[in-house]
Amino acid sequence: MRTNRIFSTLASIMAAGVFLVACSGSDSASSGQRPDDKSGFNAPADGKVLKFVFNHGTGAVQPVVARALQVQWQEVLGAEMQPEGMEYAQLVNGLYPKHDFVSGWNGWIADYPGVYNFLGLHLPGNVNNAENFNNPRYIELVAQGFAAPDVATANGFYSEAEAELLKSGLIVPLFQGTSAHLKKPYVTGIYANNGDVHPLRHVRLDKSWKPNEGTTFFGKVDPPKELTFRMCAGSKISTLDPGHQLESWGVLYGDALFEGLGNNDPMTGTVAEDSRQLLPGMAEKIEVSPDGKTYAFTLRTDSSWVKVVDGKVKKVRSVNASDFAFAWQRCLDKVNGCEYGPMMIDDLGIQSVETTGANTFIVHLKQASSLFPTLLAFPILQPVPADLVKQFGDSWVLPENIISNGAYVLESQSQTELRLVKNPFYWWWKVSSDADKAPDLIIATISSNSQAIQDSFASGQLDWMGLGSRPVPEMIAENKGRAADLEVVMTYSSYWIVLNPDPARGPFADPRVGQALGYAIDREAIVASLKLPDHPVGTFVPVGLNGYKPKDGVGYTYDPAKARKLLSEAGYSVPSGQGE
Amino acid sequence: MFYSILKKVGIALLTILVAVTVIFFMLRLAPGGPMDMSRPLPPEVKEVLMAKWGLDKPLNEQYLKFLVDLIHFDFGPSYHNQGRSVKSLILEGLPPTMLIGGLSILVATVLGVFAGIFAAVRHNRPADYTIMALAMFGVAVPEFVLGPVLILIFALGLNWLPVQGYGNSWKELVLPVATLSLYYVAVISRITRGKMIEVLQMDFIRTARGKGLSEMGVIFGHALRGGISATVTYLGVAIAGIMTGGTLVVENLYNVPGLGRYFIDAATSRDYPLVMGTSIVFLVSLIIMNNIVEIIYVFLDPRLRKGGK
Repeated sequence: MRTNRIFSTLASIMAAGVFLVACSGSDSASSGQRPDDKSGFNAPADGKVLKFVFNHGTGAVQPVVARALQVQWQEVLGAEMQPEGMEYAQLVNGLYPKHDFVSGWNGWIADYPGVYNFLGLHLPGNVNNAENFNNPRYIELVAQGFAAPDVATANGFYSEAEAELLKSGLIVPLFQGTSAHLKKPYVTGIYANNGDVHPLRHVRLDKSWKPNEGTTFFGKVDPPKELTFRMCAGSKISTLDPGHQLESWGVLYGDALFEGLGNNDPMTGTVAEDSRQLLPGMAEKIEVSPDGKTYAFTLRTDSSWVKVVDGKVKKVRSVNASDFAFAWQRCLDKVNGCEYGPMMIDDLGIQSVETTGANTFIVHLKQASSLFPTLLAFPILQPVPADLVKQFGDSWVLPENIISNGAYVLESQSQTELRLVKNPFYWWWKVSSDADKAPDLIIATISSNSQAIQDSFASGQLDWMGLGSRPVPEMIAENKGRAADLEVVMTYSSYWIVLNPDPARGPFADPRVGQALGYAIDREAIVASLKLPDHPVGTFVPVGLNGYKPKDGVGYTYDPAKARKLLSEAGYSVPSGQGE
Repeated sequence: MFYSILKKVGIALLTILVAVTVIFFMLRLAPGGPMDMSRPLPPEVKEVLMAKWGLDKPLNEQYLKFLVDLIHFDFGPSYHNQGRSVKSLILEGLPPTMLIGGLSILVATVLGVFAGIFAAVRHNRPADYTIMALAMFGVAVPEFVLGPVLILIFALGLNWLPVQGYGNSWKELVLPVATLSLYYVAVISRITRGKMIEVLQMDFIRTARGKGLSEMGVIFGHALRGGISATVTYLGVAIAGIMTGGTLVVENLYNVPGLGRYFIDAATSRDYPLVMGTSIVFLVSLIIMNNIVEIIYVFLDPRLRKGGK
């Protein structure tokens, strides 16, 4: 009897559960069909509530921003957003390329200071085009910008393209990223620039530095006794091979070890402010054909490949044009799997390379490009010694094998530390006015523990932390504008919400829905309340990138009334008069 | 004796085989892969890397190749450390891990045993209560909390020790060893105290005292052998804890270039060969240490020897 009662109770509960599940299924706005829908969008019948899932990464920022968005969209639009956290790498590599998502967080840090690097993400065929944006007008405008003879003309086309992109409602910009670094006051030559590019050859240490009265510093400050620069710019280094460089801190070290045809200006991180050209590098002379498609670089003859042997830097051989040709061709050949090889071909338009003699390197472009001459310091365009690669294969970059032609030479490498010694044969030391203050030794700590690195800086163990090793957000919020050793600057980076227009996935086929979400976000409030180091923006392309400005009137602002109007027009129910 | 050793080796090899098989398939069946970076790679680049790493082959082929290479102690190249073999990375990472782990076990054992003996001898007196209260604290506070607190006090506050680092000075070992060993000092002291109290109440101890032996002679000459038997058993667990969890946390906290760092980097970047290699090293180390602990225990307790009465 007792057993029967238990079974009958369980059966009742199960039946009730099945009934409840059956009843709840029809409320989902994402699956609703509107019989009289003439718009072609999958809008719900009877003005239902907007419901959707939002994927985001884990870590310190994305989950809290997701929660803030959930609250704001609920208050302004009555929308029900369900945040779902997952490993960010899984999101961008797993869900986005397959367009297997409803909405999510996305971001991009510039590979180079060019607007095309951002707008090109949303072209058909680009693996980063998560929303599968395919707008003929947009494609045409971006192509016109890419082919423009000068930056100003290009930016005109690009601003029109950005307007088209934001009109689609598939991209809702949130923030432009910032970079923060902690630098001891006796360190010069490192500047907070938008590209976050810091050529180490410009670092100088002032042993005679004395503090000014009344200046506040975050960390302990004692002038250095030796010319040793102790820094941390990031965590694990996968490789120092310029052709396979993916990490920004790997680029930093690679830039110290290898010198390309030109050099970045330390103040801007790219071309110099006045000349709009790169600083001189391995190219002593540059000749351009009248059609702008062929470049002939004559290399300097006073540059050598060097390495550390028995504790001393020794010359190995001179740098030749064939070292550049080998490096560039290696990246152009898809069989080598160079991660930025496709960028070389698409963005830079490099078609082929050749050499004439030992010191002349010739590049053929598919079309004239205003971008190409500004990117000659890019890592994949740095020389690579062919003989070493043929001898050692991938192991050519190990400390016992590697040779370099840059300002510094690799002395040793472990998983927690990199040591670089000054290259006494580097041509630029002779022309640089204060080369005697350049560090003889650079000790780069490799660590992912930002708090510990920050503590090391505070205790005086480090002279600089930045790039991939940033101070923790709380420290930045407390000390920004107060501590003289903290610098914060906007970077060429963008963070946005991406929406999937596939009606089978979610409700964003109608651009008005995405636009409503865009106008319902109070970005300034999110940044202020969460004490984020980022800068709130309503446009996609980073402000100031290569002189770029968005078209007037383009971009999202916080406008709850407009947001509600758009969502209501799209057929959803909205609360009235709240959140204003 | 010979058959006993053969049996132990056989069981160890079988354990390793089962464990590596499970890890091998779990890695490859879990979401994501070694090409999942912070931004997606172009498909043509992915294709080249898949072929380079043999990931385009069927799973059973990959597994067989792995077993054949394992027999030759060849774990293959690391996916995300260009030009480095997994073997070379393990050989590089093993000494720091063994040093920090070994010192921690040594400190934990010596301090824990002496604290436990002292508490047992001063049973139910203030010294006993103090030691047990400290032990409670040591057990309750995890390494990732204790470490930053120690850094705050000794590195940032008193400036006695560096925040992190390895290989430049003996001072860099102090905080990692203290962080790792404190928990085990606490547990070992509690276990030792409990067992010593029990042993000190036995008849043979009363006999030893009756013969006029000094208290130190009674404790270290008679009671200790029985009193640390439980501690020796626990050492196997302690070594397991240090190797599989403790060093991972401490090496990341204090930037020690040990196997724990490689393991975490490999796991997060899905560097399959490096995960397999480090897992096997941890496994083999555990098996060896557990067998050593068993031998020591047999030595301490004659009743466990074959034919012992």
